[in-house]
Amino acid sequence: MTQPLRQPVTPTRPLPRPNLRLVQPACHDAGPGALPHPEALTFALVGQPNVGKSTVFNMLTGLNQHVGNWPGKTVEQKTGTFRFDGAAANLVDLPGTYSLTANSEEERIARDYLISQRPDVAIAVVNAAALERSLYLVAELLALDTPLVIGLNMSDVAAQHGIHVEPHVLEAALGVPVVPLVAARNEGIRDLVAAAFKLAYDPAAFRPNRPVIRPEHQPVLEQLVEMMGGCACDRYAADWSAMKLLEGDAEVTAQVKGSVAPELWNEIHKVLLQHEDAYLDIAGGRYEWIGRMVRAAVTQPRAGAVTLTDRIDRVATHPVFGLGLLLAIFGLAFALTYAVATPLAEWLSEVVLGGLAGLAATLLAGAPAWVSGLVIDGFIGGAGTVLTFLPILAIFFALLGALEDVGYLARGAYVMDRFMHLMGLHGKSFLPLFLGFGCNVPAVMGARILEERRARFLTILLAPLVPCTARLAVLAFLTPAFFGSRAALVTLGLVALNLVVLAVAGIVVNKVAFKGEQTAFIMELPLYHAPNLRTVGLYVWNNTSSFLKKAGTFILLSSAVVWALSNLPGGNPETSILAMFGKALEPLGALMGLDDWRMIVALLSSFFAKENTIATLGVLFGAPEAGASLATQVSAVMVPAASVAFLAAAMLFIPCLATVATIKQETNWKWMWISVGLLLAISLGAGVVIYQGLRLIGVGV
Amino acid sequence: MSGELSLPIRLLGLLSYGGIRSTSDLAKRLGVSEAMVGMMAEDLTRRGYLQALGGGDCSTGCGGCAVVSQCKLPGAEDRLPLLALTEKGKLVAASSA
Repeated sequence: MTQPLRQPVTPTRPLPRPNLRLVQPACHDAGPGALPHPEALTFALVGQPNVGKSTVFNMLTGLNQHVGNWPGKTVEQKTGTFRFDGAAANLVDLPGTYSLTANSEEERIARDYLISQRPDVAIAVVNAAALERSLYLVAELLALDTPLVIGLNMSDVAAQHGIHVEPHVLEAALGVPVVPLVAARNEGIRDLVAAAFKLAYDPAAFRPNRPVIRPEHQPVLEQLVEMMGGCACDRYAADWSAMKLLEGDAEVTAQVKGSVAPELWNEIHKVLLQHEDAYLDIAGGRYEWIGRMVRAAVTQPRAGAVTLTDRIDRVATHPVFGLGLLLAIFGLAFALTYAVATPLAEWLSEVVLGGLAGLAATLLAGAPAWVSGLVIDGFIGGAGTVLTFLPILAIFFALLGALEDVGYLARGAYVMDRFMHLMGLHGKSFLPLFLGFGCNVPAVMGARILEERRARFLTILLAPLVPCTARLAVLAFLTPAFFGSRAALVTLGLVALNLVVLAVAGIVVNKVAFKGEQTAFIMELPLYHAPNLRTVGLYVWNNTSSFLKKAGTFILLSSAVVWALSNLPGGNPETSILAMFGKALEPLGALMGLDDWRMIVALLSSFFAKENTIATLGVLFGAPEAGASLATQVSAVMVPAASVAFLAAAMLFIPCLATVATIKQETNWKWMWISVGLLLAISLGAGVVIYQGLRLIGVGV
Repeated sequence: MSGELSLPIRLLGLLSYGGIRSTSDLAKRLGVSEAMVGMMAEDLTRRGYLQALGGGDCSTGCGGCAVVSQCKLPGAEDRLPLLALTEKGKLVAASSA
């Protein structure tokens, strides 16, 4: 058997006279009617923010209200008076609170007022649409002595969500008067006030069913009450203070500590330390009580959205089907990106850039050769080509944003985690790595959540193996040109390769750094719903505009540098500094089937920014010409096996400069170089293995 | 009720095995509503048994990051952040599992 948190209180008449504070000089006092009636009853309105408490207050007090601040606080204080069936009453609108645990100033004010000012009745306005949350506050209110009446508001909103609360059943379950309200339409307020007056005149009728405390804590509670017998803190009742002490309430703890002899406090403190987790049982008692009340009074027919979510989730969060669905959705997303965006990107490249190059050639006919070279091959061929990414990025981000807004992406993370968990790769490193799909920079910074240095550094080492959107965009640009209708399949294969490398590396890291320790997360899976076009549009805009800025600044500058290096000295790209550098690396490139030094240089230039691969290819292959986009020109210089090797190496290559700089910032020089060296080895190694493997079996050569 | 562990302790216990637990899955296992799991999770976070790991709001420290929008997906900020056990939470979870 369990015991009530507090024994029912039976106040005797006369009621404690309300000591409604006379408020500070008003800034917008409504008039003399707002002054409290010293002999009248006082009611306090209490409830969560936005439950319609203030609407009830305004409906009742009209112009007879006073707005100021709570003494010494910045929180607004609203008091007023009203008459009901000839009787006057004072009304205090307490600040909106979720509980009475003194987590915030609002909670402290509400709790102190109820305890020290002792209103005749507290009127709790609760939200029928979020009854459980409201009932937590009610559970805490019932622990006080103040008689309580409940105004069940927003039943109309609850009904829209398929939630029906039976006021009479709730009243019977709580043992507290429950009055249904639609405050906004002034419905039920009169009944609510009538119930409050009735209870004020007959407080003996207040016999609530309070939450219970577990039997194992009852002796501790009694022990604390006894120990606090000499406590001078008359502000709160001893049994309530004892419970709050057990809950670890900072304010009550400080007050008791300051009110008892140090020796006694040491004794109390010892008891509290022995029951440090008592809060979990006390709160547990409240949650179980709420569960009982809700089960009794709420009928929640499974609304359409809930049923739909459940049905979809049977597949979407299934360990096997869910993973299949995730792959299918991403495959479809790539296929859609290629089907819609690639033709647009090609059109931009061939028609717009080709036209621009032609126009620039005409306009700059009389200019020095280096000027027209820089503009046509450097700016238009380099940065201009990167701009043709725009449709690919816009569609990709639109799909990503829509998947998130619909509620799917959280499921994607959920099934991916299960997959990673099956492989033994799990730990707090999951979250930073997941962020890496957007950009590797937040992934590296996200590793800060790992307290242990070694785990943090090893996670940072893994982060660049996550394919970021810039790498995916490069992949999306080149793959269709290399592989035509099989592009989506090849892309999926390359992303899968990335993830397999990540998983293998992750398993090693998990064993070494986390010693196989598992971490659990709580994740909220939202209900599926139609995507909001504005939200998705805003997401696409934010991302594409930051890409445009990058293309207009950093990539433009890089293009100019690449053009200069590919033309100096002498103006012949084949004898330029860049060519010499690229040709020196040709033996290594040849192992991956890259016989053209331009491909090696393009791969290396991705270090500055992933999009630079395309900009460099644009510069080195020259501005697009009508009928031959850059991708087509590039695909002509490599056999398919070399193309796969090139793309795999690009996907696993050293991250961009921004990520490397962040790695240095988050670790040190040594780890930065380890990261660069490791990724260089992994990416080039993968390229060589893929090319040589395909050559060995005679595929794509 | 006597002898059974309290709901918050059972919730922490369910997190002792690792992996992502959805609020709906936890609600089913505890026999309560998803809203109550959310309430308990928030409460346990305030009490130091769980910790928010950032996520949707990029509160992991990338506030000044130029590409912050990349990890701020639409709708993510309205949800419960990703929560994990703290050392204090792990002790309770281990004793209840």
